[in-house]
Amino acid sequence: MNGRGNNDGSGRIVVRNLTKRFGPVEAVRDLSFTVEPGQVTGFLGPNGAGKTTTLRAALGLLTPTDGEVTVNGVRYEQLGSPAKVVGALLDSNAFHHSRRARAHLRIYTAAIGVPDQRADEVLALVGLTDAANRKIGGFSLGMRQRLALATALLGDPRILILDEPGSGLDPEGVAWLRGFMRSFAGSGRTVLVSSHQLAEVAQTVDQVVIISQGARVFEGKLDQLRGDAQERVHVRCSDPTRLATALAEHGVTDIQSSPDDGLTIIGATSVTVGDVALAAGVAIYRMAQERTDLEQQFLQLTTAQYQPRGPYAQPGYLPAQPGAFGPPAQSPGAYGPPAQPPGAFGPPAQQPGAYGPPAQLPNQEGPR
Amino acid sequence: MSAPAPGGSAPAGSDSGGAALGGAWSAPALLGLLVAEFRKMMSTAAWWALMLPAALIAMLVTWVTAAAAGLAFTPSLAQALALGSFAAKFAVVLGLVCATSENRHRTLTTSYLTAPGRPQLLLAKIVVGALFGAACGVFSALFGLLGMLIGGGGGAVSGTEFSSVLAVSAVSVLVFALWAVLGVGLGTLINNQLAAIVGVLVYLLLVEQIISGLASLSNFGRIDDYLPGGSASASLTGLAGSEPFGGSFSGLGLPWWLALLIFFGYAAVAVLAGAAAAQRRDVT
Repeated sequence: MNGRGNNDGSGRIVVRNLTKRFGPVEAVRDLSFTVEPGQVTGFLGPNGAGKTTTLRAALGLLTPTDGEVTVNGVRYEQLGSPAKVVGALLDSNAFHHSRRARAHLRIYTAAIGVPDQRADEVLALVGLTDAANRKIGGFSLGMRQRLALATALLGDPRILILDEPGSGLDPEGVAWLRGFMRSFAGSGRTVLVSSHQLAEVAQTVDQVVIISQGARVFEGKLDQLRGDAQERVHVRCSDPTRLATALAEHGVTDIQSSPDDGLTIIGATSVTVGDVALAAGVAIYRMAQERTDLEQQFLQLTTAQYQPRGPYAQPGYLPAQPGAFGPPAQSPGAYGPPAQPPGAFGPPAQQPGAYGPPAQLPNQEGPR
Repeated sequence: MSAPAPGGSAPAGSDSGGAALGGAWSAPALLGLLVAEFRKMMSTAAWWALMLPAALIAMLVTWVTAAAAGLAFTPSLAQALALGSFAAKFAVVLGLVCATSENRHRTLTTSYLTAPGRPQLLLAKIVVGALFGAACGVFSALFGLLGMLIGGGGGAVSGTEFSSVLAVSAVSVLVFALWAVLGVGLGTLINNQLAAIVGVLVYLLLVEQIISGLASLSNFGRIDDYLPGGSASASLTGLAGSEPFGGSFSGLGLPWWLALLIFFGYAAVAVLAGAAAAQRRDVT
């Protein structure tokens, strides 16, 4: 690039032991990861996990409590003309609503130091040419999102940081954005995209960083995440209670009921389930084996943030999503056989009311 | 890769010795920020929505004083009151709006991301704020003269008195610019648009009057000219001719240039406080 300062032009973002506290709240805790050029890096975590705080610290908008973030080897403030290096979409509503789209962009072409016709180029790029002279106040959320992206692209940056870019976009817009991110990274540039939904970025990203409660819980390729998945068997049978009991006696205790009167068994193969059902004299109507999908892996990694409390920590009737929002309060994210999984099917003696009204389950109703 | 950007970018940045600061404070970078701030102002209605009432109220005041109290007020004093005590309030609001609308509309993030640094952005806002404040002063002074002509006829505006009116009008342009700069500084410090505008107006219209009133009753005596609003007014009334009410408009009789200097000090303090706050503040 311009060879200014120690800017190495690598297109690399390095987060090093970043900690950010807002008063008593620790939004980000000793977070480290690296974003490499030439690929799309997904930055995932539930709402409130610290994604936006991390991105804003990378962009010099927040002062870290500890640690640092470097872009091209230097802090954002040292980049000189930063918008020519990094383009960022942080807030799809950061507009003065009475400005027109082109007037908005021409403020920043001047600030960045690029020719004014760049405004029309980026408007065409995001498909807003027809709306160039309309007031932003009349824009739909999707149009604002695209205008925010256009603003980020004004300086023709080699690094793109996108915070939840999919929100507000229609399916067509999401597909377009995916293609855009891929081609941007394909030309050797850097894309860091955050999302609270793995599915939204799963098809696009090469690398993922997953954080929960401000700390990193996973960094690596998506395939690695997939590889950690466990077997999952979904069964419909003549007597779910008896099958669950029989499975529990075989040491398979991570079982949950699904709304269609079936069972979801985690950590056992269909062979085991079939054998146990035959021995217990339970007829199998339907059985499907699947690997735990990415979304569930993601939920498992981040679920510690959602330890149920209060009246919503109701066990008993579970959706077909093990470990998601259900009651495994005592064993957050653990798919292995927990000591006493409430709401699952242990031996009946220990688990009163497994199928019945969930009134008197232990560990759930009392104050925590 | 990104070939167009460096190619078309500020060449002055790359030949400035390689230091990051050199590029960040280069003339093209600063000029770009000035143009950006100017476009920010021109692309919304705030500038004329504040300049228009400022000019109209200046005209109204000189008109009424010239028509109703033409004997008690010299034309230069009428002009000084119309500009200093009435129209100037709009200049400070103009500065406040210039600084706080970025926070209100959440565009501050984009502005920080596209500027080499926060001090540079504030500097651009100060310069552009001063320009719009000065423009507000020019319009207000012209409309003040117009009101005087309508109300009092051309007879009062003549000879030595007319040069005094011109002097008041000329200095008012500087005072208005400083009011806008003070507004930019305070707006950067306070950040919340409504709180900043209401707070500053309540201070100028109420609190400062109470302070100077209490001081005049105590053994401090008259301190009007040392307070922000009072020093700005005194720099204009001090220029005006004779004072019919025995000096009640500039109690201390400070020379106009000293009052102006004091007011300049307040504007500088506001800017420094705003700069310090902006440098530290997290933008969430």
